[in-house]
Amino acid sequence: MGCCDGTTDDELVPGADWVWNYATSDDVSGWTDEIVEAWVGTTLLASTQGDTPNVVTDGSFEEIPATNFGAGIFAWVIPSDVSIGATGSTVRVLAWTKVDGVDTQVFDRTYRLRKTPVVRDEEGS
Amino acid sequence: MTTWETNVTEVVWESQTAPGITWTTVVGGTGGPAGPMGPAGPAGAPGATGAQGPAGATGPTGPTGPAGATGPAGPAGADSTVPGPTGPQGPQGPAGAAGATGPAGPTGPAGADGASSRMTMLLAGGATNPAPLWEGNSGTGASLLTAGTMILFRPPTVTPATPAYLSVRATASALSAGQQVEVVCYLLDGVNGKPKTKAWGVPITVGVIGATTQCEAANVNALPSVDYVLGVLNPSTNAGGVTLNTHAPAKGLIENLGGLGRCGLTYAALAAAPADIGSFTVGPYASSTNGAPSTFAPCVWGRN
Repeated sequence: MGCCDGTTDDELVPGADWVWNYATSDDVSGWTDEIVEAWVGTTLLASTQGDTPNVVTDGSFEEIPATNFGAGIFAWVIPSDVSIGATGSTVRVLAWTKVDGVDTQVFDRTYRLRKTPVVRDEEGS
Repeated sequence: MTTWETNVTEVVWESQTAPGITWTTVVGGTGGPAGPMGPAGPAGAPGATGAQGPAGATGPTGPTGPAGATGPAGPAGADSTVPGPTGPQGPQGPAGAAGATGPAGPTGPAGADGASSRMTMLLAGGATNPAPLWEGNSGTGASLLTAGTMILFRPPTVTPATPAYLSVRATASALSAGQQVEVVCYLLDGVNGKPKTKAWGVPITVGVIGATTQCEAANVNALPSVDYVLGVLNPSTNAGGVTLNTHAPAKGLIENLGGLGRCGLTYAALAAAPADIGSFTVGPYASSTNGAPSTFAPCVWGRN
């Protein structure tokens, strides 16, 4: 998996696809209605909610499967055209699900945003 | 005798792209006796945005229709200031009211037998004890900094932007009492991203041989928001060399540690850390302006 794998990386690159792909053998069949959000400071960068949800959870992104709690799969993608909007030094990714009908926060992780040095054409040639 | 039953579920998720990397979350839990009060927890996460309210109803004869219904509150979150999205405007009606602000987030975790839901991040195996980041090098991966030597390393990713502790362990030292090494930070703001500008330097007095000398939070400067390298300088004005070694950090959980990369560059004959090293070169032999490859970097930092 190239950049950026949110399950292993501590640093994410704006403008790259950010993927999370987890599976469990524990029983999460009572989990439903996931919400995933990414916040940069107090700005909501990406969400599974709203008029234009921009976090992919339906398996339509490359090889990342759809979230299917019945099968023990929890996966989501923040695609590159969304992550390009991440400015600042960190991004916080949170997830909630209904666990047996009760909204429960199940994921909270902060990642550093990488700054990519500029490459000038006239140098190093 | 009262029998208490609990219903706490611990779910271990494993990365499908990096098998062995796990994330554990604990949910649920009811009915247990209240445990002792836990320490105050961190602020709750921002509440999720409230769901969109339904459209306002059409006005019967063209006058302004009623406002769209308020979206329900988002899940708990501290200091959430983002309202739910406004409901779409009904035909000829005003825009729906703003969604309610999410309620305050949860406070600290419950005691040992507490019943509240909570979420925990663990490393694989649940390791939380400070330990050498490079076990295999313990005791053998020493780095001798002779007087005048400065070693620079590119740190890997680290979560905290400001390390609370920066530790240096001197396993042997020829320094005179009170002499100092300096931990330095250079920005990668030179040509093609080379290290150039000295951002800050923190002096550390090497104490008892074999002991960990740690620089407390008040003396550790914030890491820059741009790329950077860190290093350690043993000034040429010191009486002798100092041997540094990998070690467990003085403080901090392993999930909050940053290790300085194992590969770096060494410079020689430096009395002080230059303010600008943008013109420095790289080659096989170390000088005051030429960095030679080094295979070991001895420092870690920790954060409570």
